[in-house]
Amino acid sequence: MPWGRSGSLTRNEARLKLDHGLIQVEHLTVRYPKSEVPALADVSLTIERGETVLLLSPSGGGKSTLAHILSGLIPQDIYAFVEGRVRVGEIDPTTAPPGRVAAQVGLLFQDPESGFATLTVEDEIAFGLENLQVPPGEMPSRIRHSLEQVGLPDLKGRRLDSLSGGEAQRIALACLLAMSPPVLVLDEPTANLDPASTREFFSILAGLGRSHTILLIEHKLDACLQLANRVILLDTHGRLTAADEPGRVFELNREVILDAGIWMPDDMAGPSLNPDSGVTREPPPAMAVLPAVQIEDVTFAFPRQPPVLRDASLNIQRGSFFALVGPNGSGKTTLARLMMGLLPSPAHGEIRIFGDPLERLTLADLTERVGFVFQNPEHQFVTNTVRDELAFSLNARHWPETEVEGRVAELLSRFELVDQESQNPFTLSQGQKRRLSVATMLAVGQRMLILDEPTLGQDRRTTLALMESLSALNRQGVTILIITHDMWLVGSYAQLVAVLLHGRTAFVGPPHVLFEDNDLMHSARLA
Amino acid sequence: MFTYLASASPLHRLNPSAKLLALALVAAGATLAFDPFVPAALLVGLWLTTWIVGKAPFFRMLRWSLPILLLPLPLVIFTALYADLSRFNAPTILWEWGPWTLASEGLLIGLGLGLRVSCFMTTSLLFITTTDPTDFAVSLIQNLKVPYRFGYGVLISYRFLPLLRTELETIRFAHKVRGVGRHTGILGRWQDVRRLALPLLASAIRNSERTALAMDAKAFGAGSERTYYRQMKVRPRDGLFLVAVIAFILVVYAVAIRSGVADLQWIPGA
Repeated sequence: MPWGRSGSLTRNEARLKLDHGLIQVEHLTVRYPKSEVPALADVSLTIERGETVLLLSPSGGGKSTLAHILSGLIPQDIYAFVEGRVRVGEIDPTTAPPGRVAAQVGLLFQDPESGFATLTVEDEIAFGLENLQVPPGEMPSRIRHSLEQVGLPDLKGRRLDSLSGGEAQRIALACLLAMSPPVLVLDEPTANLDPASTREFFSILAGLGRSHTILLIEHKLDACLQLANRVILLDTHGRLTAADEPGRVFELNREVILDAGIWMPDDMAGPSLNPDSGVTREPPPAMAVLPAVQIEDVTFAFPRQPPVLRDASLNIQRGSFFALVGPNGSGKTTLARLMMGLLPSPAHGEIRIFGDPLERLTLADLTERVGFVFQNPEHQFVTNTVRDELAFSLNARHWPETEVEGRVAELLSRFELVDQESQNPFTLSQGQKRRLSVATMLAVGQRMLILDEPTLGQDRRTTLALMESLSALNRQGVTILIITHDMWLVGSYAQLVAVLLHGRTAFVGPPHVLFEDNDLMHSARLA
Repeated sequence: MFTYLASASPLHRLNPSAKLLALALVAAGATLAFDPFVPAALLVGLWLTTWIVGKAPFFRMLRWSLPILLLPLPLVIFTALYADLSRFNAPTILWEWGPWTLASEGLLIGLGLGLRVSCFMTTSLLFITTTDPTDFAVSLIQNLKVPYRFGYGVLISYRFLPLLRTELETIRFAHKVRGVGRHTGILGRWQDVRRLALPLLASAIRNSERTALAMDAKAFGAGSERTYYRQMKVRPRDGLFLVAVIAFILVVYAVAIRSGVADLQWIPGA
């Protein structure tokens, strides 16, 4: 029954409702089976045709739940208890057949890669059309048109695994546009993209104009705020806090928003959060100018591939807070992995870690000096409890048991993991996992920490907590090297920043000097 | 091990299901003979077809041939040592030690079996290097009437394998940085594997859940029917290929029987 729960409405009443808004949600409460508290609590809202609405909530505050309700995934794919009324156009997405929902609502995910079902761009765009049983004869023109809409008309025959992150997300959008749903729900579409790709993505959305009704869930408010004509704010308990034009929402709910760990637009966040406001951070303790990492003219290539690094050079002083930035594929991760001895020695050039040539250091020596934090904390977990995780490298180095005990206790309290001591690392929250992964990398007293995109896709609260603890470590003398796309972090925390471009070091200097170099910022896709 | 090599060779243009059927016939041909000659001849035929008609690069073919010939080697040796020699009147003994007897008759049976396995591997070499995975999945659905959910399963596994490989490499690095992976001995190795398995499994499950959600959000599985962008038709050239393959198998058998090298145990008195 396509009319779903509102089947009791008369046709006239229904039509009246239709005129009132394309998306109508009334007293919606959603609770997941394993949870005591609802993800959405008594939410009522209306979105008119052609509106672009920005949906904000703290982590776990029900944004994605609302996205999944509107696109019919809850309760049809993901089971949850749903109460209240939902209507998108003529259908109730919670009960309508999937084909009808997909024709009304297109849902875009954070990570386009894992959403692809086929191997090439044209097949992927065709995939949705095939499911809607569009006649094959119509497909080529719809594929061409949707590629033009996302500004990538020449990518039709490309393999999906050859696309950059920004291209992949635009193709994922093209897949939805081809199915021509009037409503687009975008769930943190730019969380994994560099600043330039983010800007390009939003300008494509702006280009769609009022032809689509868009519900946008986003962290990077600066980039997308001018798109939205309304902001909807949910609180931690999934209750509707505000639904109004952006300026008013930010003005009236400033405290709530900052408290909830949502990124505020720069010009509204206040001076303490603004990178250009000239915050003077406590300088690290004065230290004799000694090198932590010296990289000289390093050239590196994977077998049968063009070089990733070409004569890259980098000097990192002990005690500095250093950021490494650059576009996808510029060699940042390769350079970091080389420093950690994870890749074969470079064809040319030299790497010294705390004075010693890399080849002369064993893995044990190296990991005692430098800790390496991966993007996904789960990848680094090797035991079954938080305590064992912290004790692991100590035991591997045959520390005496009493010292291990003391060290673990110290780490647990320093990284606020005391209550999680006997929990399995995989069951921790995102923020706890991140803290644990940093703690394990400092266990044996490492003097330097390399972090590869540690804040990707995290909300403001988790990111700030991590950055503050890095900053505290830095003040204690730990050298920090962070790889990131986030210029706000670079501006707020790093003393020096290096730009890698096509495998070469294109810039080394203080962040504010880099930010003034418009040409470089653009060619390195940082702005 | 083998990967698809995109090109527009005549083998690439064949209907994947027809190609699969033809290769199944070759495999059957290799199964029915117990001598080394028949599977060896079929193997050479497949190899040359892949190289010349399928336009696969020569050096890559050589690199891939090594495991094809070497992997069945233990099978050859053990079959030769344990072959039942009682059906031969006067086996030619080459070597004897304790319970083991190596006779030239046994060696021939072992070689026959090993080459049969090599021949199977060469059929997959031809198929994988010359068949576009998407064409294959669509052809399974359209020509062989395989349920489309299953056909897409095949396609998604093509997507997932390289992703999992990158993921595994990252996890290995992450563990190495923590000082794991230096274990020796069978027990230590087993522990290492278990340590890698959990994060790999966790991310594989998470990835496949995401893929499933994204597919459902695009109405996959909404109806019993779908339309298709690609049309995989069966054309006259597919029939021609099938006929050529059958003719080739028959010629190999004819030559083998004529020259007396064939060992066809299923034909009484042969």
